[in-house]
Amino acid sequence: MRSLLSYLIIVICLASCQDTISLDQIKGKNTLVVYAFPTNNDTIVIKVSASQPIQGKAEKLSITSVRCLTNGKDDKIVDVGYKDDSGTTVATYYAIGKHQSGDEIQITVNDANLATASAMTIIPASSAIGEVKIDSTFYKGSMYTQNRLTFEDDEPSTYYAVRVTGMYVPENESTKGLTEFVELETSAEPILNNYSSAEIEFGSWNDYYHNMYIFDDSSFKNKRATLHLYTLQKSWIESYKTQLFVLSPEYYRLLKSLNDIKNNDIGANGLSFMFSTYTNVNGGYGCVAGYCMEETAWKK
Amino acid sequence: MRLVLFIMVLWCSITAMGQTTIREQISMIQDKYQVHFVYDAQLNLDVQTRGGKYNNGSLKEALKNLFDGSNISYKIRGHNILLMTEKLDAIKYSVRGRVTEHNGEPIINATIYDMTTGQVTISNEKGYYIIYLSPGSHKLRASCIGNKEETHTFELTQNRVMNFVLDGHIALSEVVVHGERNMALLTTQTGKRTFTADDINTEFSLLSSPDLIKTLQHTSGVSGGVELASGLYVHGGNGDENLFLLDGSPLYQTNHSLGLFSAFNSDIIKNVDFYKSGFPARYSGRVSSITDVRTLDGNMQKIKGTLSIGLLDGRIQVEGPIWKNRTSFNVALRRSWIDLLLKPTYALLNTQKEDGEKYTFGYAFHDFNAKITHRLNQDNSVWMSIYSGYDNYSINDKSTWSRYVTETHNKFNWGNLNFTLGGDFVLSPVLNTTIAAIGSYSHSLHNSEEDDTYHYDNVVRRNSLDLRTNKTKMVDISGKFDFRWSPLASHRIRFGGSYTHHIFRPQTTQQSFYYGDPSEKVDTTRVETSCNASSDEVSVYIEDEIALTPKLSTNLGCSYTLTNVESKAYHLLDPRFALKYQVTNNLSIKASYTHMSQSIHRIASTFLELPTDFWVPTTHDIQPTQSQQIVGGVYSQFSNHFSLSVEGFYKRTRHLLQYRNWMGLQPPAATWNKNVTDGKGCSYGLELDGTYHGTRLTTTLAYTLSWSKRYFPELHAGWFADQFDNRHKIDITTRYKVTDKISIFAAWTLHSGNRITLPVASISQPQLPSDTGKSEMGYLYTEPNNFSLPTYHRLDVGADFRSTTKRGNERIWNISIYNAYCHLNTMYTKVHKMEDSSFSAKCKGYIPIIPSVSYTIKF
Repeated sequence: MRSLLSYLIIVICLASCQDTISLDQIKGKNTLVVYAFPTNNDTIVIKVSASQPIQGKAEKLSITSVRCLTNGKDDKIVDVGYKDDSGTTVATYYAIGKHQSGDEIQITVNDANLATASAMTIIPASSAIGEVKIDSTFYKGSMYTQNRLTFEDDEPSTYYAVRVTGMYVPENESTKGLTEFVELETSAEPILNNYSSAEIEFGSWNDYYHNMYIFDDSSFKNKRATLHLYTLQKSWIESYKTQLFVLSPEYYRLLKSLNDIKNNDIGANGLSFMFSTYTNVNGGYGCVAGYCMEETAWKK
Repeated sequence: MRLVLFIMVLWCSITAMGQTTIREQISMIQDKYQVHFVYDAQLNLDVQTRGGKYNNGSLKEALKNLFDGSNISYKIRGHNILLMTEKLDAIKYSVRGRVTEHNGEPIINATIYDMTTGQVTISNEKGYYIIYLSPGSHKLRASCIGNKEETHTFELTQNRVMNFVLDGHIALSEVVVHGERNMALLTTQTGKRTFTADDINTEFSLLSSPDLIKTLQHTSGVSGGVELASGLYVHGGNGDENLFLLDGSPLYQTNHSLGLFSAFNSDIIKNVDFYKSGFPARYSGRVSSITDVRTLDGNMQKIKGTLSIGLLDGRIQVEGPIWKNRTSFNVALRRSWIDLLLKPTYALLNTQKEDGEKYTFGYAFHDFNAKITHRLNQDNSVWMSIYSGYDNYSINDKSTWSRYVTETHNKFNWGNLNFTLGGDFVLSPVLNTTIAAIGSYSHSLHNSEEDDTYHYDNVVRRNSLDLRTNKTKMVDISGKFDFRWSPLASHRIRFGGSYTHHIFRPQTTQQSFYYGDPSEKVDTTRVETSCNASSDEVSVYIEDEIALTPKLSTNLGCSYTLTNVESKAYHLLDPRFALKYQVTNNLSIKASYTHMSQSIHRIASTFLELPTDFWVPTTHDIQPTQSQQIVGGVYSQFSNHFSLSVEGFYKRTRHLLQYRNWMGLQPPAATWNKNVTDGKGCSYGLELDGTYHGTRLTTTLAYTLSWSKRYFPELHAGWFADQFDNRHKIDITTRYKVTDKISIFAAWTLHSGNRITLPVASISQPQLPSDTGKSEMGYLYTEPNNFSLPTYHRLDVGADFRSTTKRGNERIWNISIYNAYCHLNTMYTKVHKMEDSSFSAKCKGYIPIIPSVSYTIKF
């Protein structure tokens, strides 16, 4: 009896002890993080920050030069300044020049303490939005607003994204409307629904980064496509507009990577493969990726 | 005349004094060197020596001096010197037969040892053996661990049949452990482990339910994957690279309860041959391991059985004759019984609820094995084997809000149905065959239904009905034949072929939504997708176990598979080679090279081996997975009790598949081939295996030092560690027989932690066009599996208490404790950013001590 009691005491003591862990194995580097998304307008916004490694101290940002080449020619760089943003310092620059579809954009950032970061992208051709319709519809027992968007898939384009913005006027403000990117019911549009029906039962997420719904043209190559964009009807939203993006491969991969990391809770728990964050920045992280965007008018 | 005769006799005597006979010389050598001469009685030893007299040199010199120039050859076998005439030595007769237990059960891997010449062979999977011996006196011994040996002494003058009937399941203290031919020291193959039913049943078992796969997890070179799941990752391979054969039929769903139990009922298992390298050519279709499970034929003499009840499951097994000594049956059923408790419990709880609300949860699994064996005559038999495994989980929920009622039904089931009809035929003394027709069906179904209704004055009006179904099916239909041909003493040839037609229905999904009452015009959406594929495989093989010299043996083989899928033919040639050099009786060196191909794949996005994971064929664009493996090792047996081996392996795999993105728990099957990326694998390591086998104590030690890497250029620039790249792994298992009635056992496992992906830095996240507000911070993930979790270690202990009932039946109480010192092994860890901007991580582990008990009665 005494030995049994001793055993139970040992077991209880041990049960309270979990493994301790050190993050020494992780080798994170201090690098520049560069984001820029050129499109066919005059200004490219370049945001630069420094990574904060899990192990070790973060280096302070000390940018010595930023260069943006459009088809090999320098854009004019305007230093907007440093700003503390969510616990990190972000430097913003504007690259001013003529940018249009097909242009090759190359951005290079030099820092006094960190390795030089550079990346390149090509601005894709835009895709014209065809027919646009908005309806109220009953779907799975609830009222939805359905934005139907038709467009032609062109030969060079492969990657797309769609985003629906809702506009509302707050009660106390009568002059200015506010906007929000609305969440779409992806089960109603097979092009946006990555998962099978079983997913919902298992509780997997199907979130899209900042409600930017990315897709590729594998199911409608070189054909006319119609997207059925269902959003749960909200009484305060007065009108909607839809944006159709043609993405460069880099942009698509960045957004896909962000979605995968966000939705893969199982991987975070060590039960499935965890995918890396996409980057096309040499010497650093982040992404320089071109896109083109067309949008509809506000529709009620 | 008398004088002449006297002179002749005197001359002869003087001559004889200088030239003694061989027999006399032998007698002198025996006395001097304490050796024993073994020879045929017909051998004439009363002849004068030619080579001269025995001198005071070494034994070898003495023998050389004595027999040089005579027609007698000799072999030194320990303390025995075997003599034979050169002519007699050239003549070989075959001795063949079958090794069975008294109840007619064939014994696999029994050692048949000629004590006269030292020649040895083993029985095959049907208990048959053949050995070639010289004419003369022989003493042939058949033995197998767990059985009493039997010896036959006979004079061999022609080919003969000799069957052995061994007493089975004798007490351990009676066992005399001789060198087993099937032990690693003597077999030509590398990487082979054999497990008997006793090995599985007397080891620690989770929840007191013996488990084959959890036994295999203790083997060196094998990673068990996620805790409690029945994962098997052999030499850095993936979970789908293991071929499980149940009486020759492939099994695709090898787990119950999401991995808590394996699908093999240990009561019906006779023998398991597990290969992690050195695969003989007769096995093909997977690149990492082969597990060949053979079930018991059934007792030909009398009805016997076992009844066992454990914490979560109960088992019953009955075997016996249908027609004494001709036809036997063996039936085993294992079923979880927790649902039998849950049903009345929920019924009771639901009666206390108001408004007809009720909630039920049910889970049950079963596996059923049945085998019928019929002996046509002494040599030929036919048999039929059936396996059915099934898991069923369900949740039903009825909720009411005033007049509104929501009923939810959730059903999830999966399983296998396998059928094998086979025959074993002896075609000639040196040729026998096994022919089999095999059918295999594996399936899973996930169904959910949500029905919202409105109740008013006995009128029920439906608001909505949401139905979702997801089905996966796979069917294999195949025929195979295997020949075993032993034309010469030095050649054991196996050849055969098979044809398999695979039908894949990896996923059929249906989503239906009905809004409103069916009697009215309703709003309905219905989407159905399905995916069909099929492939054909024709495979032939040949292998030859060749004794090149008494010390050097090789196993050469090759298999060729023609896979036809989507009008594309893949020609897969898989050469195999194994070589063994027996340095001494107690030491051997082995090497092997194997090339393996696999033309079906299980596509999974998790490591959980979910039943909804589906198998798909190689396609026009997706190549078969192929591996090459080189293994070398040293094997020794220091005494009858202690053996030790060291094996090194190097394995490369190509055309591994991995989803290129996170696809959710059940990715859409219709586009699976567009979502996977092709990669490579590389693993290498060293394995140390030691066994102590005493009268009461048996201890095994398995240590593995290994590296396992992956290369998927689309996912990461460079090689990265595999999820189960456990650098060190130690398994120690011990069984100790305290008394005839009590035995205790323990298993201790320690390995470097599994690998997970942790962020390397925190970085600002991108702001998309039209985004306003501040940037968010997020984690940066770079190299996959960049972090090794803390070392995993666990001790499992248990005890069996045996006694005899009043009716003379044996009963066993088993008590088992999983994770006896309650170490909450880390399953994953998460990184948190602290207020001071530093980062810390916490370990998450949930599996505590799990005690269990079971009661078994044998009748």
